[in-house]
Amino acid sequence: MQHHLSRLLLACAAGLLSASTLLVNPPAAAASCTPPARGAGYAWMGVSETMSGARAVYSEIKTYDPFVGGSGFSYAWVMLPGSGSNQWAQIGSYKSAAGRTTTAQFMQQSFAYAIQYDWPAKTVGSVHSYSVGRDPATHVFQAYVDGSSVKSITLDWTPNGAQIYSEITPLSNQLMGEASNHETFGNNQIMNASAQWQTFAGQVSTPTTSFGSNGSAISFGTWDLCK
Amino acid sequence: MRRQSYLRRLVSLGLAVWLAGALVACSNDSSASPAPTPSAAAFFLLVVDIDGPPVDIQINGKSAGSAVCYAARSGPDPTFAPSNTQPLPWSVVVLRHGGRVLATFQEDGVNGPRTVFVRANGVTEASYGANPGPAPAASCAA
Repeated sequence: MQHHLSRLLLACAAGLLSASTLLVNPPAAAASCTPPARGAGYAWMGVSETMSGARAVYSEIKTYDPFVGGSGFSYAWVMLPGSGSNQWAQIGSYKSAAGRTTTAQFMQQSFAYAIQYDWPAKTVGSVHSYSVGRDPATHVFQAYVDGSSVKSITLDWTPNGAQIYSEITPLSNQLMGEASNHETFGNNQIMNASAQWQTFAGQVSTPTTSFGSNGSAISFGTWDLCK
Repeated sequence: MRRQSYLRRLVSLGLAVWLAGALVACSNDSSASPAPTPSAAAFFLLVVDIDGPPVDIQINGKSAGSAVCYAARSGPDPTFAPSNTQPLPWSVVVLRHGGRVLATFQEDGVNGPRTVFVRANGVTEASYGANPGPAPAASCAA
């Protein structure tokens, strides 16, 4: 009896462990590209569009598992930025030293720091839609994953455009994507002040010696050259 | 008999903890938290001029360095660390290159490494590894 109960306890502990592990670390393919020590700082590859009264941004983003070392993050996201300092709302696929998550961040000037919400990460290789929108009547921002609202928050600023990017810090982390397996952002759209979706416009970041990109504002890829 | 009752309670407790974990894992929403702060290593100050004007950095009244925005360079962001000649605490002043004061920050090193973000719309200070918000503008602020 005692033996049976001990096994039950062990099973409970294992269940708890797997449940908490799933929160931040779902099964993932290994990252295949580890960048050299490129130093502190930030890097972005993607596209911005300035639009007064922009109401929402949308992209279908492939889930990638980048190399992330002991600090910082690698993040593929859609964002509504404001014109002032510390004004943004974003959601996308995120990885830090703690593991991969689906992550949203919201910021306004009166916040001491960006408020972050995390959900379990999507399966590596799967494509999911991410969107952030703002209702100009209520000032409520909504973040969506695959068409479902996952978070709403009231912020005190007005978007002046939209952005879709891969981002890292520090530079020793891997930007989403690798030369043989690009991070992809597809069907990119922005909602104008009249609440009409239109295809995204803007110049995709120019490739550098460390990072690659291809495509257009409507559909583009990013990757880390890991050098 | 008493041992059996004890073990039964243990099993109940284990099941309750497992259920709570599973519920959290299955929850659609999550709890809010500050954007994560990477490990608090020894203090240093990273100055990241993302799309702001060229700036000069003063530490405790002495010129320490300068920074220009991403569109105007490809080199690393300047980093400043305490030394025998420049011990903490610091009064850090960010000035428009050759001009007026844009921001002043006090650094005592207690909260680990920090970052100063210089943007077209202002200068802010945050933990090292913090999210600076929007991607850089295509050109540096004048």
